[in-house]
Amino acid sequence: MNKGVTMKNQAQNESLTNMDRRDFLKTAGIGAAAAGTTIVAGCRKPTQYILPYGKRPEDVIPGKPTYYATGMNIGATVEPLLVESHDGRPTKIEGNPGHPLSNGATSGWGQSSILDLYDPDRSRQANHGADTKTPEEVDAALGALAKSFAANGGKGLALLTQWVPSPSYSRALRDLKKALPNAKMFMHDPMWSSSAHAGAQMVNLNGVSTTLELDNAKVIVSLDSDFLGSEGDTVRNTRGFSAGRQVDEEPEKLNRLYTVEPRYTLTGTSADHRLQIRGSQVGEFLAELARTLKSKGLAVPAGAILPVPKLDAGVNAELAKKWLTVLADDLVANKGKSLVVVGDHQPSHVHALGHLVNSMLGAFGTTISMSKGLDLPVQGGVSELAALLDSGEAETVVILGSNPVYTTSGDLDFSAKLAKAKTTLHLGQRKDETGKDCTWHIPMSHFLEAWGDLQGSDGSALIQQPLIAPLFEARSALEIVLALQGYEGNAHDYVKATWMSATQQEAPFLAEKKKALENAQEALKGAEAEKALLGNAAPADAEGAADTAATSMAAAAEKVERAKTAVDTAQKDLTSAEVAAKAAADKAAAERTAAWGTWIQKGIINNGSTDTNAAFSWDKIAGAWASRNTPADSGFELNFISDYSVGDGRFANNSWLQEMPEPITKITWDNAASISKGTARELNINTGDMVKITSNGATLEIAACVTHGVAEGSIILPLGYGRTHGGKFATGAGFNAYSLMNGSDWIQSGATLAKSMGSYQLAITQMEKGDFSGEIQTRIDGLVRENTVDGYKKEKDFVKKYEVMPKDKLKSLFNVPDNSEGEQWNSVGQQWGMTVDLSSCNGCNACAIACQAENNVAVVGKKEVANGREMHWLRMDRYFDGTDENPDSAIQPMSCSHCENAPCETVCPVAATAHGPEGTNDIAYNRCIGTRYCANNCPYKVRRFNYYNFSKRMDEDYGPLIAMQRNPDVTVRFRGVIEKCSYCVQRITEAHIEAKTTGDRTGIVPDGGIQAACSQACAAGAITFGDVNDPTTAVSKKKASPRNYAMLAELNIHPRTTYLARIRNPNPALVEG
Amino acid sequence: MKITWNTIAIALCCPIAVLSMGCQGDITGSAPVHLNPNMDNVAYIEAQEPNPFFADGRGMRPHVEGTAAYNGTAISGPAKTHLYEGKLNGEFVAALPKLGPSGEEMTFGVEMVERGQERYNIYCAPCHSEAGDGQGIVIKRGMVMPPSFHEDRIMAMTLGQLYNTITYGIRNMKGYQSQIPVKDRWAIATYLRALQFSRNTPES
Repeated sequence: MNKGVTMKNQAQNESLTNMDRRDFLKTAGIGAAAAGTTIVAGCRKPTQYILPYGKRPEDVIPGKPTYYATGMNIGATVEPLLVESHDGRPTKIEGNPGHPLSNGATSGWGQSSILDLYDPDRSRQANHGADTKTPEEVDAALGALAKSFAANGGKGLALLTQWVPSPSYSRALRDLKKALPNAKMFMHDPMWSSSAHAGAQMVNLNGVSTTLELDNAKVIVSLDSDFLGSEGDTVRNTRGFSAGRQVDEEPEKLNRLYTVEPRYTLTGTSADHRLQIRGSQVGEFLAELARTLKSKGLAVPAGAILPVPKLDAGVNAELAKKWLTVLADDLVANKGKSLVVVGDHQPSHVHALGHLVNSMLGAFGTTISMSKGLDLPVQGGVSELAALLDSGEAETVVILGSNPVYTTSGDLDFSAKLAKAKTTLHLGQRKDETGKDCTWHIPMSHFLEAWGDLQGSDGSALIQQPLIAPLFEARSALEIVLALQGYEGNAHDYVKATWMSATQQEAPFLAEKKKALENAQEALKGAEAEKALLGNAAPADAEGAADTAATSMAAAAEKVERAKTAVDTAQKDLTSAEVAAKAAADKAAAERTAAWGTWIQKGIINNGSTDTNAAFSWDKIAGAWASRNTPADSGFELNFISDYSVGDGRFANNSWLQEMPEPITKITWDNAASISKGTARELNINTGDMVKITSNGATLEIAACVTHGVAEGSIILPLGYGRTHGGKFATGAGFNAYSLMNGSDWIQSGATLAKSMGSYQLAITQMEKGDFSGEIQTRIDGLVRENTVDGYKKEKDFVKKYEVMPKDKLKSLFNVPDNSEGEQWNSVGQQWGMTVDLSSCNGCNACAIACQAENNVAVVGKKEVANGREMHWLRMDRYFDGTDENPDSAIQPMSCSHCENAPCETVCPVAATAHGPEGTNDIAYNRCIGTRYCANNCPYKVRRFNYYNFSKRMDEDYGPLIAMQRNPDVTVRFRGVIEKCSYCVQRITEAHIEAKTTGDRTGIVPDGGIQAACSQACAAGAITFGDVNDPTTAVSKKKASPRNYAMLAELNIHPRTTYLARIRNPNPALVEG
Repeated sequence: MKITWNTIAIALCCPIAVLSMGCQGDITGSAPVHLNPNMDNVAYIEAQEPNPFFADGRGMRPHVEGTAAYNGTAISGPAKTHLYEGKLNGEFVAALPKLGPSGEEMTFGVEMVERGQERYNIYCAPCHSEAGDGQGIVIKRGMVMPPSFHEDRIMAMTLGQLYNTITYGIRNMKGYQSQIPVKDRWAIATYLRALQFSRNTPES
């Protein structure tokens, strides 16, 4: 204790003991009064001001949210969005229901991107060295740059951009290239697969973008691909895939998914069969499969030579052999209804072979559609830029949105390369690793603050419209590119100009007339030449000959005249055609101008066009395979992956994503090297132990995580962590796996792994057996119920056999309605309920983030997650089963089930939690005194307690920004209060109000008129929410399925949320026994 | 000291008197006492609340120029003044406007007139009366009478002028822009036309 304080306390003690009674009372009285005054003064309502609109804009009712359509991209993935705006502040992101890439659903990244807008670490002002610069000074500097480049044609300028599939951005770069022909442009984006691109180029699939049409597919083979989780159009793919999993509604469409992969992906968790082999062997497996398909009679296209594989499937060698025949049979039987999908991280030659196999399977045009792709006029990637920097040719480097210092492999040492340029300009949302190394840093706008456009992989396009003026002095990449070419005008005008001139095609009849005129002119030329020839030969000797010559001369002259008339007619035709064409073009332009408003409003321009005229050339595949890298014989194989939470690091400062458990390892706030159980046993490594990985001379000390589903000899390294300048949430979380990367390969062999000193605390939300050794725990059967499709057909009500207590033994004092037996609620009105279809759910976490965004769920930080105090209202439980070599998994979303006979309600001493009239289990937050009895009595453990003032901590971290994101329709919970899923009660209330003011005004919400945040976000349509008192609603129909079961029904709690058992469609030939 | 009932009564009354004196009729500049915060004021921004983050201190942000809400009526160009103000090039219009960026046509339909009637009876009838003759219930209580819709002057008004008056108000009547959505205001204007027609139908 501080000495001064101690002394003071002693003095007080003395005076207290020496005081007489009167003095004591006096002092105490004054003290109490003073304290009272302070308490009273401190407990006044805060003084609040009302700032209404002076002149209210039309269509805006204060407090009533409006929606705006826009879109975002993550690498090549385009997500069309519908953004909720509360009084001009974007608060929540949903998918655009009118766009085929979304159909109303979003990914977790899409959901969470709203928080990036309000990131407290976004840079607020431009910097030049240590000085801050005003926007005017930045304008002046960019103007000066543009001027100097205009003088020398852009000599010394190198531009590095991210992948942005935007027609306007692409046009701006092409315009810049035209204006500054000496400028060089490069593209770097770890979320855009360069190997897939190279593979497509190898088979001459240039300028074509491919899209998976999974709803047409019966047999899907995923080769280290995560098309449902993190690669490509995950939302569209998930919807297409789940369309083939509706065993009750559309049994004839049932598909079958095989995955071959070195680690559990979300695609792997949805698979009917999963083969676990190392990443480098996946391509070899594909080559074996191609040969097997050929031997089964599938024709190999002309010019293609199948490569010779060297498959080493390790411990699964026997199984792989069995697989090849069975798989090939299944594929051949479903030719035209099957496809293989190669993962983004596989090398280019595997992608090329994938295209070949798909061509053999007749997938193009059926299960894979093609459309015109979009290209950026770039000359290479970051390694080409590094070479240019080395040669000293790049004097000015402009980096737009990318963070190459962090996201490039350790061996490149981009930071040192960057120092060689004279001027470096970084446009980024944060002053990150690259920003701090650049001479200029300019804040970059969020996609909700800028104008732009996007083109999806299926060719469909949309306009990106801003929801709010830039919060900080930020610019978009498009604006910088325009400034560099001295474009006068704003991004909105440029985007609009792109679309106003985009579809200007010459009318076909005009071309015809032109051709006719050309023909006529050609004829005239011929006739004139003939005449001239005759004229030259005119001085003839013989008379007769002269006569003949004169006759032919006259004929030729006539011919010329005729040709001239024809030319004149053709000319006239063309002129009138041109007038008509101009009128048509004007009309089209007027239509486009008129359509512009609709495009922005609805967030879609066109549905894309399919283009199946790809001219494949297969001759390069064999060569590429012959020269492929063979993996080292010994050592471990490193598989770099983009993390499910933070991607390549771009979402690292998003606290929602940081705290969202990784779907497989369930790690929050960190990454870890995932190793197999076998490796762990051999090297005596437990989850949380530090390990040392050495590869190509680079070393990384990283925490290990013993993970099911990792192929023997593989180490899975998620990227995106270990940031040094990523912001307050990103910096210090996890380990930087880029430092181990060598070159651009995502799979590297020959690494060594050793147990290192010490251990590391990983905040893991779900463990096996509660220990760290990662033993597979036998799953409790009754929680996740599953069956094969054949078993289900034989025994429709198989879910009943898991019931622990027979129904008649479950007695209540009062009658609990349960419509699974056809009973109805007697009470009037709507009764809310939910079903979760485990056949469709793949555990992508989109619902969990959507719930967090909608319900102001607080982030608690790594330490409190480790204490088991995370606040997620909706969590994903994942279970493993089977053996280490061949594990099996299941995922089950879990949130409050709103039990009829809720155990939490009976134990609350203050009746803070009670049943609402519509069957929801409600909490009156300000009545809660925090006994936590309810949480202890909840069998599902879905009630969360605010141990600390978590929301206030967020307020402190985010400053005034987080208040702008929060949903003003949901209370922000204080310390000492229990909270949990409310079935989005604020949406129910809003829907009731809507139903009372419109339509027949009964207040009855029509089916589909209300969606919980989770069900709205779900691309698979796994979550259905609605009125269970009405047998015609979607949710009642689902509950009527024989697959419907209640979890822990033996407790007689009658949950309103029930699950539909998972039905898998395994190949009988592969099922053991 | 002998304790009597009087002393007890006085002892009890004094604090009550003091407490009541301290509060009643007292004008104070400070906010009311609020002992239990109870999550009454939490860190989100409600409608019309200030937000110190922005230079103008407003929590409600203006929508960016050129954007269009998903189900909004927003349109651009001259059609905008037609739809929102009932004017085209400074002149009142006689026709119904187009709605939304796609230019959805509004038509005189039974539905629209019925909607207009319903809204009229809620917002306008208290003064103007359900018959539109200006003898509403409020007028009977002594308020200045508004003109009858069946006057020649108002009969001669264009649809746009009726709409404009509903929107921005006139003389004693306040504007209803903030209370009635734009589509409903046009519906009321169409209903007014129907109301006028009902009293002035030619005999033939």
